[in-house]
Amino acid sequence: MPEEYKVITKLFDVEGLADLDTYRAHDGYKALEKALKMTPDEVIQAVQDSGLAGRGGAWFNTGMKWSFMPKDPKVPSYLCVNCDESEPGTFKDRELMRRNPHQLLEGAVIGAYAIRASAVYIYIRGEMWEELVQMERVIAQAREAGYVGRHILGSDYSVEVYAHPGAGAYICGEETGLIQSLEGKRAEPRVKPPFPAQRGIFDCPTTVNNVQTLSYVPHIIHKGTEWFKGLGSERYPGTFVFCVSGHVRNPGLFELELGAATMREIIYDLAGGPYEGRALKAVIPGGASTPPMTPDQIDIVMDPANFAIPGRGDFQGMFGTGGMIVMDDTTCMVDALLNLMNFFAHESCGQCTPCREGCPWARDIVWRIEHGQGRPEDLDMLLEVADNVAGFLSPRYSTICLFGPAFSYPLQGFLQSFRSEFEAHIEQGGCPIKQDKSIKVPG
Amino acid sequence: MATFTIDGKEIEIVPGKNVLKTALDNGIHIPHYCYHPGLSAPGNCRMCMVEIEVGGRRSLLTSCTTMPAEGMVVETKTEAVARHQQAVMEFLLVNHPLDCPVCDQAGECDLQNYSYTYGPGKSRFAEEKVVQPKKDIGKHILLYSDRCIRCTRCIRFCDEISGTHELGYFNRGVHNEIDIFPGERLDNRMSGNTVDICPVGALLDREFLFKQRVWFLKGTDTVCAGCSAGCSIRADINNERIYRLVPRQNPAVNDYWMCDDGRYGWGHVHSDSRLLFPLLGQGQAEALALWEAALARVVEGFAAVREAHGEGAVAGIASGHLTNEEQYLFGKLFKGVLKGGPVALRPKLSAEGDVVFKSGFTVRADKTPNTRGAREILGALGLPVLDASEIWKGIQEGRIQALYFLGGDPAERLSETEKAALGGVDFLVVQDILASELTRMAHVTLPGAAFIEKDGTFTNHAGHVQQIRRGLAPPGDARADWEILRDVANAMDGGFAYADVREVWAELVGTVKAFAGMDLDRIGDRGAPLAAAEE
Repeated sequence: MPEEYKVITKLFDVEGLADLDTYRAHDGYKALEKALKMTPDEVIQAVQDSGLAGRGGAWFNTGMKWSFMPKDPKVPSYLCVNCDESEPGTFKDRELMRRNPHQLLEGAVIGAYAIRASAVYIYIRGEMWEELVQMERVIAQAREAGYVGRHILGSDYSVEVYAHPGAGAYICGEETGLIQSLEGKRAEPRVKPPFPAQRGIFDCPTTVNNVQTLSYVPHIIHKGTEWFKGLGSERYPGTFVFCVSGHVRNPGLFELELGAATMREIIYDLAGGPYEGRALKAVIPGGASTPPMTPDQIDIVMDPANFAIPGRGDFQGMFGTGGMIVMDDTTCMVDALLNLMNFFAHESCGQCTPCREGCPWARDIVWRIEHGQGRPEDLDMLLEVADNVAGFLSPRYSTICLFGPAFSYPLQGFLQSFRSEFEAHIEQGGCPIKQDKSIKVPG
Repeated sequence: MATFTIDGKEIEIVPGKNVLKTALDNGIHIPHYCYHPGLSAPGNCRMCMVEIEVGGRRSLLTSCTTMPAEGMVVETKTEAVARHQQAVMEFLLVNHPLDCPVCDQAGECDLQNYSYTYGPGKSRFAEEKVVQPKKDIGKHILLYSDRCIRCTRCIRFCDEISGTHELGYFNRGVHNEIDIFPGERLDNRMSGNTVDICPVGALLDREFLFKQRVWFLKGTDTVCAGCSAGCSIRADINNERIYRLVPRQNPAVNDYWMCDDGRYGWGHVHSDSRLLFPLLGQGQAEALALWEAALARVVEGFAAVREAHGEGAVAGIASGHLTNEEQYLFGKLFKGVLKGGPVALRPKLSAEGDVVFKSGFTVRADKTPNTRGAREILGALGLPVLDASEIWKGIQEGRIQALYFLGGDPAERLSETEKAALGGVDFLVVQDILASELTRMAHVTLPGAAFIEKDGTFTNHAGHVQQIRRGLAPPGDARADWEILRDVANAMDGGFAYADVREVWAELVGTVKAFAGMDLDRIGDRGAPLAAAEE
């Protein structure tokens, strides 16, 4: 049985952790004090040496990303915290913000210091209103205690921190869509290059970091680079917070060292496995935009290195956000895909042609198949429509942002792994799995 | 010299010029919708994606947002590119209505054209289309959102060129649509350009709608006569009627744009008030006449005044509406044949002054196309151009007894002073295009030609000389003004032996220093600056 190793979720059960005093009683803000005694470049170096990689999904070295920011800024630079967590099946950032907000704030201020940012924007998904209100209270506490604002802890460094409510769209989580939204514009992702480090918020250099990434920063500074490097796998040190949801007996968050467990162990040992009498049918490994995996594929060790990123080496699946959606044998895969397609068709920003037109088109076809109006030629056409938006697990995509692949990978994945089920729908003129779709509260 | 290659052709890198524009300028066509050379490049239509290899990595990239780099290899005609173009065409058409037969854009539609060249030929889409509304968004503009491919050219035009920001993008995904912001109307003075740059039939010109299939139109490249900016335009004509004016690209004058004043300012050409025949007699007593009779009356009238009051008693009002060639003939006639006295120009300035837009595009206060040319040429011929008030004063004081008045203004209006003065001359000859209170006061009215009814050149406010071209015959017995001036001179035995306006041009170039060395070939479609303006 794999053991959890808690770093950023360690204090989750501490009562009143959102209060400054409680957080300080657990070594809170010691890392910030330590960081301010280092030079910004030393902080960057420490984070770079720790091997911390961006938990937003790109797995790019965080310290390296910070080093792209101007050392002698002529215009303001910004740190932006991406708390627009909207990937279906993913709920770790929300918990990190809700249960240990000071940890995130401390990490953000340290990061801001490292990249010489003059302001931090914490962009919080509009639906997470309570977290936003709490974050504003947390910022106010920190400001009063001198951790935020002018001359932090008596140093020369000043930074303002703002919590900004998101505008309610999945695409606001794409970093340049987020920047557009933050500027008060439509959340339409920008064409890259230029990258945010060159021209981000208000055309100034900007680093966008994920909540989970920044939550590690105080620990790395406080406990040291070597400690962090000793955790997890060689290529991807540290821990990861997995979210397991769906047809399991014990859904929830599980923080483990990267590479410490297989997907099967997480699902069966930590999340309790499927309900009595049910069998595992499929797992969406890392949020709605990752292709589903079948029971014979889940012995994979949960290390991003094993998954590989599209276009970078051998591929076995996508690690994604670590948000696993478990489906048992009562699930109709066409219905499950229709659910995802409804989501993507609804969330496409509509800026660029392939995504705007392709997502609803695919949704309509899947709807027909699920409702008994499928045609034999539909399946190949679906695959082609998806491929025209983004080739399966390839670096080729025709859209401005990665929404294209996020839509087309699961579509192609479902068809690849469960084609016979789609064919059965078409042949029988309807869904073979008669299921009760009402929501039930377990008694 | 840094270079890169497109389809194997080595091309020099022009800093700031993207791969798409570089290809287009080098005769390599890459299909595109959202990119317009006069606007920013958002890269949203995805049609211009081509294979680009940099540093050993080959990928499909939008050529409108990619800047060339040393050694970059661009391939626009590979299998992958063709497949992608087919895919984008299919996507663009899934929700596009099949209403080409009733669409104004048909025949000049990029969606149609690219469908033939790059599209898959048939649609696999068997779902229900998203249907969007037709909207009335401005005085001149209708938006059939249904046909819109969301390239956002129109939004960017209003943001970047006119700077008036009336248009925005609303809703999300396949339901997103272009619209005016609440409380706004697309009524800026450049609004018609949005129709020109719309690659499909979404933005429509209310005036042009359903009037004509574009393939029946014959374009005449000419110059707008609405103000002294002198925008390069094309007049689209069929059956001896103008149907629309559209701007031509000219970086030296108007870039890609024209204002709505000019665009819709051609109504006078087909007005019922056009002068069709020479007229003799004033007001109620006006009677149609043959040219011979009218010319004879002109000769006789001026001779009588000259005899009674001397040479200085004949004055001239020149016109900024006439061409350079006509200015030259008028000057030559007035000085050498008619032997008249003072010559003046009546300025036509709009009270609002120059109207400058965000991009720098300017609607000029001077509502004549060629006042600059009139001043340059008459001055060079030794006819100092006076202020018109001098002439009115001369009439009041009895020094001036006859007037040769060149009109040409589509909206002629006389002030009380002018009316009083004109009533006081013994003999008034008016050469104009429209009946007005001015022509009613004339003893002889000579029917001239509108800008689209004659050949010649205009000199704009900045001294840029461009050609205007005849796309229509003058109505009735009306003649090109240069012909009238020639005929008047010849009726006075002036010996003006010009068969063609080009002969006048040749003489003008040889005589007037500012025009020295110019030739029509060099002027071409984009014009050339006066020698004086070039310095």
